[in-house]
Amino acid sequence: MKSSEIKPLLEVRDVRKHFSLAGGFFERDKARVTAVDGVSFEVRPGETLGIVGESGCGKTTLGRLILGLEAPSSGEVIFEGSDIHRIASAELRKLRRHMQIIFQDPFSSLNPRMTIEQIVAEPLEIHGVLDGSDRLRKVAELLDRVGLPQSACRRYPHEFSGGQRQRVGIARAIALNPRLIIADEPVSALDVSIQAQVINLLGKLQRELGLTYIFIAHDLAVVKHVSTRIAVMYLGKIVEIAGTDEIFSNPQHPYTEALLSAVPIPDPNIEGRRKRILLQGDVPSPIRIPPGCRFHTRCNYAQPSCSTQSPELAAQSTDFSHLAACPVAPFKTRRSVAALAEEGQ
Amino acid sequence: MSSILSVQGLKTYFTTEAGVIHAVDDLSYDLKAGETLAIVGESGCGKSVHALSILRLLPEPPAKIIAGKILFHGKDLLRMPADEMRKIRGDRIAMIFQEPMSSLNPVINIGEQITEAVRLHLKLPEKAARARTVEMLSKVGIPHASERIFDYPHQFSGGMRQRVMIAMALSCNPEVLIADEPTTALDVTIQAQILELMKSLQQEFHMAIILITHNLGIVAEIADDVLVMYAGQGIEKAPTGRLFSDLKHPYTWGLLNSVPKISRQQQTLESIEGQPPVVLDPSPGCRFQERCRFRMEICGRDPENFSPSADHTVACWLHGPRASGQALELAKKYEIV
Repeated sequence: MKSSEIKPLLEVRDVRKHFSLAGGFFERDKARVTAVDGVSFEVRPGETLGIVGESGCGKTTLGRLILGLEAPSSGEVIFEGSDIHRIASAELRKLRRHMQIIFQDPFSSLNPRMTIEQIVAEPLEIHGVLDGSDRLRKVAELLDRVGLPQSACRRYPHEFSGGQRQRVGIARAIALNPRLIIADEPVSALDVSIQAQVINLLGKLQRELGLTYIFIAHDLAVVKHVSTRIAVMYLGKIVEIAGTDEIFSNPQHPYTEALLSAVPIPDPNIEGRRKRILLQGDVPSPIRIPPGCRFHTRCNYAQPSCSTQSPELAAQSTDFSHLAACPVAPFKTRRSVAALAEEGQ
Repeated sequence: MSSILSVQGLKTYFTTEAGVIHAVDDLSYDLKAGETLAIVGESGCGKSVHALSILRLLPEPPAKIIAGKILFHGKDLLRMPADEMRKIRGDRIAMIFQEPMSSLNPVINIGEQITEAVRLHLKLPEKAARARTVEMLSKVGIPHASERIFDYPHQFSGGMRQRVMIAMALSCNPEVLIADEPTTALDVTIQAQILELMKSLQQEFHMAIILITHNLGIVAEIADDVLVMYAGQGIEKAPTGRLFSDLKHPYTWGLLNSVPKISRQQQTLESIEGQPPVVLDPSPGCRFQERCRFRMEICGRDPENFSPSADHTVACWLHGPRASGQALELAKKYEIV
């Protein structure tokens, strides 16, 4: 297995998160929302793992679990060798400076009463990195890196446009030289011409600072542009994970296939020719997850067995870099994991 | 085909404490019967304000329609008495909005909401109106429509609510449907369903659609013609195929090249530097010039409309006789002249 040769920066092992809803007789049979349901993957240093899925698929909760902002119901999140949900809180604090987040909404994620300088300096202050004029020099350097003028220092968030605020959020996120940045829908609140500016900035920073990203988004075109690998989530589970080119050219899960075909392409020539796979109905509620394969209620390839047997992620390639959780869909002849492993040796 | 709706020199301004905002500033276009015209632009370009101006739904003050005509079958909607306008609004020109939850009444069941419109506009008796409601809801793909008419908006998912909105808008057989970002709040798989539905209903009802969107992919999928707006003005209009293959305005070029495409591999995206302006007491000249890489001296004057080919108009000096040689040289490289 080639993937294990490089030590992963982050390992997520069978993580689950349930939220209980109020109600039920004597609190006994409370309804549960299953936000994340047995997710495992690795992130290697320097890569960008894109996580895509529709609203309610659990992608944001997953991001919060990785950062330790939410405790998992079960499973492990291992960052640089330590399980962040098992270690002492003082230690977690130290680890946290290596993992940062960029939020979706640049309007609500910046404190309106703080100047830009205070916002960007805050992580340095909390972790006691640099002081006095050194700290201010660092802030100036950070602003410069994200393309904001030095005059921004003494101004407040409301004086800036959405795109500029997102730059402030990015400056704050890179202030401590983190190793991992989770970007949760970082451009979806921005206008298209501004989206491109922010995407290009994130790419530039990755090259300059050697950052590793987990890029959570619903826009497949954006995810394709930034990611080296992509995980597709549906109702709390990863249904397919593979390298970006591989997943786009050779999707192996019917949901991935439908998702790709649903994205409108800004080119009438392609739009006129291609075949669109329409899914029936809506995403089921995460309170009542369908039995068996959770996608079977909307799947065009569903077989009777799909409503009883819950498929696991299975290798689609000899090097285990492409996994998909569908034993049924007739995309290509599948080989068993064992057979693949034999071939790989 | 003759035009069913003709917007001529529309100017809608907002008076604020800071000054006058020229939200829509001299906008003109024709909508042909049965066609889909996409109006594309970023937030604040005036695309939604223009739609509300057509239906006269803007609060005055602060909004005021300063000038222009909106001819619907030759009659100016802006000079029409209120009771006559009411007969057209929702009946012959209908609108669907981006957020279906906020455009449905949360305390009235959806059957009643649609039936009310049908009774008022089509003058149908209660029972027939109810039958029409059920028919429309099944047509837009709501299962068990005859039972679901008793449900309230919160009992529907986002996609289903948008279907209810479409059923309501189409219940009176409108000749023009204005759809303002109808799928922006929806997931892509649901968006695909709604677009498919709109396409098939358009054929069935032979209506013209004005589709307001920022998503060029949706434009490519369903529009016949495209009008690109920037800072309150129409800057380029062309048939969809032509706009994507042979665009002429620097802003259109930037818009198209700043979105990543799943059909192509790109290293860096072309971004348009700066941001769209707030059009507050604007000075004369092209409103895109600060962000334009082809800026010339003449751009300080209001651009005229040029027509590089039939059906294609562009408001940019690059296409006029007074374009500077240097800018033309650069524009050739970008294939916009």
